[in-house]
Amino acid sequence: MHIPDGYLSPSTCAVMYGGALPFWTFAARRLRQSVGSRLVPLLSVFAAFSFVVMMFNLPLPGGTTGHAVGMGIGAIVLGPWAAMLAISIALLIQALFFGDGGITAYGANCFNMAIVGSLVSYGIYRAFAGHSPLTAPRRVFAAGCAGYVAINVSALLAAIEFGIQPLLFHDAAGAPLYAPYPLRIAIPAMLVGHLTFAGIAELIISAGVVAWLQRAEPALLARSAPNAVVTLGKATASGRESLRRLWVALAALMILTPLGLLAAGTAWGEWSAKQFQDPANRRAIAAASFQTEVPSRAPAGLEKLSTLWTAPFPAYAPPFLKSASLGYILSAVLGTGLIIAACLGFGWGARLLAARF
Amino acid sequence: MFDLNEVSFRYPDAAALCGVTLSIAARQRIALLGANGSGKSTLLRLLDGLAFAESGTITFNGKCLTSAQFEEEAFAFDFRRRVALVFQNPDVQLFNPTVFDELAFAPLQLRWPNDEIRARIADLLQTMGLAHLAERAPHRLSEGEKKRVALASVMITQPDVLLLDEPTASLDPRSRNFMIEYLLDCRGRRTVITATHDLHILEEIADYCFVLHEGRLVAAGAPNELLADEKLLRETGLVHAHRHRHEGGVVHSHPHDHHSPSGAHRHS
Amino acid sequence: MSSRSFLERSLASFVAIIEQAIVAEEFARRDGFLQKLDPRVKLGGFLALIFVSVATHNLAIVAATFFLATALAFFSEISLSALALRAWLPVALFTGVIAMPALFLTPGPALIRAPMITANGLRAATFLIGRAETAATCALILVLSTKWPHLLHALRALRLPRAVIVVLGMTQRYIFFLLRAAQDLFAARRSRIIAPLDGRTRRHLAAANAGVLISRSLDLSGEVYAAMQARGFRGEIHTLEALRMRPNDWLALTLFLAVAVTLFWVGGH
Repeated sequence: MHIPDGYLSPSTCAVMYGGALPFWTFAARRLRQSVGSRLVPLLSVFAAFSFVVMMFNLPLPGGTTGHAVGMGIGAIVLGPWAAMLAISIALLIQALFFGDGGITAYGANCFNMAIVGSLVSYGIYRAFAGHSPLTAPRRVFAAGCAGYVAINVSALLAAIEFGIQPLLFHDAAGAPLYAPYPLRIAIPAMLVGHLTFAGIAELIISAGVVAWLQRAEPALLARSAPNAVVTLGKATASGRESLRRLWVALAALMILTPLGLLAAGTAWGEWSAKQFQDPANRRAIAAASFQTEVPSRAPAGLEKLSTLWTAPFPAYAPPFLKSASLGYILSAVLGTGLIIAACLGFGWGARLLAARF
Repeated sequence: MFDLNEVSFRYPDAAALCGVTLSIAARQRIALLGANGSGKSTLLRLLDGLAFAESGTITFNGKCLTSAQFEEEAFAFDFRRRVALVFQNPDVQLFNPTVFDELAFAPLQLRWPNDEIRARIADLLQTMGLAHLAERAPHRLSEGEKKRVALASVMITQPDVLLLDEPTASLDPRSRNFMIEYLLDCRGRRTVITATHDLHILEEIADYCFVLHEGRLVAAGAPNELLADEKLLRETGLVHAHRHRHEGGVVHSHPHDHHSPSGAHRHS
Repeated sequence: MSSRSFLERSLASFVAIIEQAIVAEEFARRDGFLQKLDPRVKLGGFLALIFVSVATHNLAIVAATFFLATALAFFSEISLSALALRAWLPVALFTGVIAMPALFLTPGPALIRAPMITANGLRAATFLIGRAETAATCALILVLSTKWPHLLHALRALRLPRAVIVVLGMTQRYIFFLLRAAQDLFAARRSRIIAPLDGRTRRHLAAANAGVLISRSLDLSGEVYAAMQARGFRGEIHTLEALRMRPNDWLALTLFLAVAVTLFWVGGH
């Protein structure tokens, strides 16, 4: 998901820097008010933490591994504003020293992961956790969802940025100058890896750390829980229960996905299986010198996921590619809007459900 | 120089200091003795204006140390120049990219002219034998070097008062000797207040001691008087009762025995 | 599975790699062409080259930029094997995997029939890989030829706020502290566990360690803040502006920019 240089056109990069800038300034101003001169050491140490957490190589069910970005946990412990700045700094260090993410694409990477990631995970966590006590199992569930959804929204954004490139930037003969895949390929290719591997890694870290903090230091969860019912005493063996609920939700998601796949059938198999490897392995490949436990290929059938996305937008049909780019961007915007609406709806539903407990 | 009157301080989960009253004169060398958790680090922080008494008063040259007082820029700058604290953990204190930047940090905050800063740094690096480390990253140094850089980073402003938190902890004999020599050198020129539980260095670094136990001031006196009071040392956790019997006489042992150079049990 | 948990293994190798990546000033200490230049010149120059490689619509210009950067590395005693290992190979693997399908998927006149490769596909894939390689090479040469503190000073020239520069410097410094802490945590837990760990336990372990680290990070930031305050820090950042441009630096900067503009202009649109 760290977009390298050369994937996005300079104008896209400029737009993404432009999009990130107001968030950075606003976040810095907000934090100046709340933490004052503490800001510098707080951000430094927390950026270092984000960097280190991005190094954790998590064993995932099925014998593969994945990395978390730590946006869920960052936003939960520090709030979205500090988290977005800290993760931005960590991304800059990664880009400078490891070439993980490009220099021109830095704005886009920050926008996708640090800014939107932090805001989405914070929003979902707050919505799902509601007024529950700091040590409630529900908070573990909320954290897991927050991490999972946030990283997928980030991936979707990256995919949209990729996807609009071939339409907007190609040479006279029609050869794409930057990321070559249209939205209908880019989106499913990015999301397959994130709905499964990267998403689960983020889920595990977010839910796991919250469960651990509930037992060891519930006070650290207080910042993102202004309305929490205050209870004394630490969590009992509660985390497990909610983790189970989390797995059930995830399993449901995964079952639903192939159902959608069966419904339509076009073959974009080749490329998708290959590209599938990218988000889950990005670091393993980037740091070729160290261990590389990676999913060797995409689960059969998953590559057809792309068809899921063409269904609601018939306007994506190939002839459209060559004509109005406006409609294309509109579709992209619509897609983002749908996702956000879905998140909100999901949060609302969860709150309704929670009210019944 | 410092006057403390009935000073108390609490952390969210525990009391750290309780009704401490003492005063420290200019150019005195003081040791704050106490086991871990006795409140001596907290006391150093209060003396350095990093935390403020919850009840009671601390005055520095007649000015009461409160957060309101530190809002006043002129006072804050003057105080920060004149009072310096060396933290126990150099990893906390050394946060700059190079040793040079580390030394430049304090004078930069105090708005000294850049040329003067450069000259001072060059000078201090020489006298402290750190010149060859100037471009190095502080976190890549050895423990002893780190401690020396930490000391240099506060000595750059030539403070009147030097506060040291466990200056000899986890140092090898050579670095430890350097530290002690340096403190000996300060005699009669600066106020030096050292928090420690290392009894071996006591007589060299202090003319007068305060003993803290569970946040309270329990004793005060010259180093040799206190070292002779075995009962006090035992009760305050500065020595262990059950490790006293050695062949050929009584030797005080304490958690830092293994760091001391051989033959350093001079007080027994 | 070896007794060393693989989390720990990945961390241990990462600590080594990171130390190598961030601290090793192996190349920055050498007496080459780039090392002699003011870091601001290098920063400006390489950013310009990166921009050219990303902005141009001409493959030849991408290639020219790549070879120019490589030549600069060569004259600065930066070994090509270091570039290959840290930029060329990883980028080729990563972007290669992504660019490959474009050969077949991009619509356009066919170049080869059997597996159908289109001319446009080939061009698109070459652009993607070429740009990614060139930009990564430029960025790596900049970092390898410049000492980190100098690079920080140079970033100031981009009008980044002082606070950002200071935060960057401190972040780099505390990454080591926390990495070591993480390593110790894994080592400490390993010494108490004999049996090989299943995935579930390892996940728990990772989460617990991340939890410990987060709480330590917060403590640490409080301590560091106290240490900064103790030395007069009041929220405003002051730094020594240590760099001075010499005639050679101006010359080099002019050359860099002239080359970049020429490449961009020659590439045309």
